Amino acid sequence: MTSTTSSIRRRKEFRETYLWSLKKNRGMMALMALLLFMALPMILMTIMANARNNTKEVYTPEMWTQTYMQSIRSLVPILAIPITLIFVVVLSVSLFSYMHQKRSVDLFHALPVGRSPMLLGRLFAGLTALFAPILLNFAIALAVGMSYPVEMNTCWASIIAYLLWLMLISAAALFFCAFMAVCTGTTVDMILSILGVNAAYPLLILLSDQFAKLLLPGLATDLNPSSIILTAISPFAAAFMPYFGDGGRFSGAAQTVGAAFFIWWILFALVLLAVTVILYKRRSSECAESSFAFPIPKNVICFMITAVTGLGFGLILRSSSENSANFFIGLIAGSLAAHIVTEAIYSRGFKQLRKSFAGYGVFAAVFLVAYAILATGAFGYDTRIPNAADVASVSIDGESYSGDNTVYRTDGSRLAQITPTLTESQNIEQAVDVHKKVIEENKKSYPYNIQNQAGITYKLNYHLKNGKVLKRFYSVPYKDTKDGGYTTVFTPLTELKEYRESGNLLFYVEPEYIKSVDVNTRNNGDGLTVAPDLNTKKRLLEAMRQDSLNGTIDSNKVDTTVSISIEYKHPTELKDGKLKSYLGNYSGKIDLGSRGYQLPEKGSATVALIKELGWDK
Amino acid sequence: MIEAKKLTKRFGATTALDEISFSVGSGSVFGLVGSNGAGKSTFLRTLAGVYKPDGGEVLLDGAAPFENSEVKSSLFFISDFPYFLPQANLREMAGFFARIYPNWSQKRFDELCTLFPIDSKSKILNMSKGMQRQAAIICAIATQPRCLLMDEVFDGLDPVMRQLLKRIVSGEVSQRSMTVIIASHNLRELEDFCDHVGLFHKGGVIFERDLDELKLGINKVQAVFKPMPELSAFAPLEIIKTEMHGSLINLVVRGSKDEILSRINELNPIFTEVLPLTLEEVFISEMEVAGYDLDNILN
Repeated sequence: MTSTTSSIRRRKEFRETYLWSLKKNRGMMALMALLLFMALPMILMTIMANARNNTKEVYTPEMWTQTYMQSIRSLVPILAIPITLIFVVVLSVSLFSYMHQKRSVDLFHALPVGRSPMLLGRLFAGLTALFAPILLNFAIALAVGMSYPVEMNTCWASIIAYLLWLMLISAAALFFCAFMAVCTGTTVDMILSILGVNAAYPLLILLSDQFAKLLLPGLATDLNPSSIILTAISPFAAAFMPYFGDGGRFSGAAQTVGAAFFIWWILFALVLLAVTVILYKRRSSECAESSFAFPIPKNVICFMITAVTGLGFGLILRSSSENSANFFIGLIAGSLAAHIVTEAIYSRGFKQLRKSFAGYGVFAAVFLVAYAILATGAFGYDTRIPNAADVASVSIDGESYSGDNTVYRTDGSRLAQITPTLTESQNIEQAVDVHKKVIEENKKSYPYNIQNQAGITYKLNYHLKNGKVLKRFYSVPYKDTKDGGYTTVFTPLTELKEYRESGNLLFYVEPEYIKSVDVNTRNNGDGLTVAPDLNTKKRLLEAMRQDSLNGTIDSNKVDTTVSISIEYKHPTELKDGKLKSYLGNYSGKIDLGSRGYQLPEKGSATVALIKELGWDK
Repeated sequence: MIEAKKLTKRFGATTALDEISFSVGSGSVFGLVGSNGAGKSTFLRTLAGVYKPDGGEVLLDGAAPFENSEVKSSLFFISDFPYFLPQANLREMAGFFARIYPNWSQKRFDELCTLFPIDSKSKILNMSKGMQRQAAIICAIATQPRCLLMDEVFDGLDPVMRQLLKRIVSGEVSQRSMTVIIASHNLRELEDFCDHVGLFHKGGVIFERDLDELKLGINKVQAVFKPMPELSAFAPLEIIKTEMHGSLINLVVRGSKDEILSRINELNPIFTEVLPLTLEEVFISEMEVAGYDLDNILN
């Protein structure tokens, strides 16, 4: 009975806090809705209205769809996300700064409202204030699409993915702000901590990755903008990552990020919400106007900023002279300066500075332990190499002579990357032998020191017969060759027929995929565009494949005089064949765009065919 | 009934309340007096549920207020610097409190708005300190609390408003048996308002007593002797403070007036007079007993 009464009372307290907080922030909600309208539907309407006027071609539904989706894909990360994140901070200050003033704490903590409903009521009011403008403006954006001949059935999934991602990450960011509000004692410290973690954490991961790769030969971390770890506790940085994770080509959030990214942020938001509520219930009211209510976030932030500045400054100084001593000078100077500045900001002076050096000691100890582990080969990581007999295949992702081998979806997101893969046993044995040579060469400077990374990079992925994958990443020195190319210890592998066939898009495409061919010979001035018949396409592909196997197609060689560009159909419908099989029998359409190749005047089967067909005239 | 049992509150190395124990009966007006930093405001905040005790407990009708909405709904705390929502006027504050306090009386609020000379539609933050206090008092009374906690509430109020406040609060006490705890350094105001006082010093309670009993139990004696007896002759009296100027002796003595007179008269004074102490004089005397070095401070 008592429990029921208490539950009813808590619900009422939550409802009243929610409604009051929402009422208090309705102006902010309206402003956000207006700014989002200007940033998304209004610009979208303008683009769509002007789209047809900017081209003389007949504007097909396909073109309307492309214009519509490209606009949304650009406007969301450039305008909608920044606006939303700014309002996350503004709303957080409005909702949670009451904890940071003794006078307001006297009022709010004396009210007959439990701490959980007080915090949750405000949090959910904040979510409503964020979600309502986002939903409204995405609905208008969809309505704009429907009012034009846009193929909405192909756009729904992407737009819903953008919407869900924006809602999820703004909720995570709001919970993060609430967490920081509870942990800090002043609003200034709250904002500094939000900025500190969101900027320092991704930088710390990037710099640690860079540092570790410089120190430990072969280290393969697979860190990329879409990696969860890169922004794992930085929702403000994570919000943008899916949009910049594909080499400059905007990609759909849902497709690029993957389910793991969504799952991580859902879990992160839920755990953060629970932790924030628990901490708020334990938070002492008297912490208001002191710098921190709980010391752990402060220590973590100080550690991150100290480490980031130390590593960053160390790497900058090292890059100027490639000298390890410079790295350590930069590391010590940068980390000490950052520690003192951070402590001075958080403690409002230098009174606590002496005590704070215990925290600096933790950083120094962590760095020394990490350095010692990496310099001694990370418990055998540097020499671990599989037996050739245990390897099913080895893919070698390195400097490619064969151009861009990426396959895109029709919405511009990356579907797959064609990577050279060796499966024949003698080739695998040769790859293992080359790998052993690289290890032996690196062992000459054991224990390892920070290395010069200026070289050609190769990534080896061993797919073992037991299903495991062993990855190693090397930067190896190279020698220039007389013909303008270069050789490395990996060159014998890259000259294997299997390597060249498996790593070149030309060996995967069908003649039917080709729409047109641009040919440009240096002696003939402007290029020529031709739309060959099927037989000519077949002959052209055969000639180019032959050149690829001979190593004739090489954009790195200086004596190339003929350039050829193959324009593929957009979109390309996959036929049964090698590419469809490589893509796992992908059922959708793809976009291959256009791919350019450089050819020498002599010794090229492709150039001979061009001459035979008269395309050089 | 309010009970503090070994109540302790610490701020880092400072112990603001050090195992204090006392009780306040329902329907009384209890004055909290004490030196600066004695723990008066800390006690009020702990009783209001703002602070969580570090030891012991404070109870309102047997229940602790911290994180207890039911208890808090019958309490209202006016802090020494009342906080109002940004840009809010009195009507908006009323709307805010009306949502949260189950006993909110709009009728009482409207009555009080007519009693106090305050514009309920003006922004409170633009008002003077005294007007802001009036706004806080109006909201507090309109929540119809069983227990009203006020910290330095007379500060900034003009004499007329102080009288009005006392009259309204006294009315609530007599009509609804509201309990009032008021912390103030303005002992003159407390003297004719409170029925009980508690003297706090360095986190402890030196005493808590009925005000009349307190005032009657401590007296100031002026007497002229020729010759002046040895000080040991006054020993049977419980003397708090002694001052001698030639043949004139001033004493602050604990005990009833009759008892003191009878003792003094045994020493054959030329002249003797026993006067009750004001609350301020009681406060100063007790503080000196408690080790408050007044001479050093004042000089």
